[in-house]
Amino acid sequence: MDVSIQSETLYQRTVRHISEYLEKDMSHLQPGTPLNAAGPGLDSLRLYEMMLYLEDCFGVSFEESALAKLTTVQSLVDLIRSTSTSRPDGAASAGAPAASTTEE
Amino acid sequence: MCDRRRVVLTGIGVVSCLGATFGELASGLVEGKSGVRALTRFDATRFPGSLAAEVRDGSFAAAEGPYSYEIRRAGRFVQYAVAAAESAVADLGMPWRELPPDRAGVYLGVSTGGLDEMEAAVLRQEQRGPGKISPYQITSMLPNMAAGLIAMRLGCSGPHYTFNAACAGGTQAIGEAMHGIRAGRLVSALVCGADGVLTPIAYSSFGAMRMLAASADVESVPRPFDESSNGIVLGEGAAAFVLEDREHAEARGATIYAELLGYAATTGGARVALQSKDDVWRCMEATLEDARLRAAEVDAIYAQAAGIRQGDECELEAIEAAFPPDRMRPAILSIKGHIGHTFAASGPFNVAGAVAALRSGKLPKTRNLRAPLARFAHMNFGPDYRVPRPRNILINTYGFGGLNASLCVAGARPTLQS
Repeated sequence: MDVSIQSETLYQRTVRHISEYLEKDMSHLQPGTPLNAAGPGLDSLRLYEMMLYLEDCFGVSFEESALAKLTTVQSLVDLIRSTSTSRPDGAASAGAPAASTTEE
Repeated sequence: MCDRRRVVLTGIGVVSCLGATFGELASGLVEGKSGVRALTRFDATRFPGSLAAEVRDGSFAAAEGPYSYEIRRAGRFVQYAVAAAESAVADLGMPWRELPPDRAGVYLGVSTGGLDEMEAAVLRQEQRGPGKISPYQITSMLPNMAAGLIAMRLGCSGPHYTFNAACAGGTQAIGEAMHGIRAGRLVSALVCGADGVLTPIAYSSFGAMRMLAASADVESVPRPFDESSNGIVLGEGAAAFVLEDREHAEARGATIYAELLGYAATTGGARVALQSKDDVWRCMEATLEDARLRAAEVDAIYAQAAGIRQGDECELEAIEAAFPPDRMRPAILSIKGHIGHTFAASGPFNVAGAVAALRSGKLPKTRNLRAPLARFAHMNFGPDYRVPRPRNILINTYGFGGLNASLCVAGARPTLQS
């Protein structure tokens, strides 16, 4: 496995998966970038579909009420972290058994 | 001087199993090529038939632009339709936006829409739960999405219509657009027939009807009009045209591929999935009346014949009744041996084939036809058609649910001066 992936932060990994979903490099995203058309170019349908993709990537299931609170990239990272740590199995690596995503 | 507006074809685009250009389709038909292969999209060996005339991935693409993601995300019929429509518009010889936007419409025929997306979603829901359904699910499978996305990308502010009419949908789309131009409501129309239903449910469903060609020999099926015909091969793709008011086309010096002379649609069938001789006959007669042609002036018929004996015989009985005995015309042919049954796109593909023949003078042979149905062996199936050069061609399509629709196209005849 790529060492850079092994050691990536949760934030970096989230941005990597956003890039995969959008099929373009989104490494320029900042924590404060809004999650809408002005940010990654997401309208509401694409945001909801991306969240399905991220659920699969991180092995989590987001609460519907939490989705309404998403505002920025950082809020998304926070949601993934809180959802992962609230899992009964405490999936700290957030669905990537072979990778060690560090909390940052 | 003509007492009604004339309608001509000024742009052509196709996405087919023989290639994604009109030239590839035209040459493939005349050269007797076949797009029939063993299906690659999923394992079809458990079904009664496992052949298909597939559009090859990578052979076509819609241009990047508005709604690109929604197009990629939609059912295959949308992707085929948009790519074919863009080719037709590129062929127009002028930017689409220079046409009057409120008098340019989009008319599209499709059978089942995004059946591929629907099936995949049902499996996903059953395996992973309702929360895993994409928010694009509805828009990926609605039959009107192809016409809507084409119209929105083109910037049409006029109407867009979808003819959800089984195998007659594309023919109805072309015919109704012609009426819109004749009536003066439209100057031009993008018309298209599209389908992409090579899915497991399609194979099991047509298998249940005992309609699939069982042979694994890709070189010998389907066999329209043949004594040994044993069913259809499923096909897919899209064929699109720009229809234009002839005066408008001539004023701008457009290349005119052909003229659309007539159209009719009727209701009636022997059963829900079988046409009737009388209704087919009536539809052809009405089309000729609309085209202001006598039966003896029809040089060739691009038939519905798909390789199902009952249906092929019914159509031939109607042709026999509608056309006076003549050793030369009409030549009778089917292109389903080349491209399979493309459902709602079959009429538009026939129009594309007819336009190619009107321009080149060469009618394709019915592929895999070796021994014509004995009762009709006297009819003009070729391979030497005895028609010097086709000028007027009739196109037949029929759909489940008592749908009959025919078109008549002619070579680009000069305008008569008053």
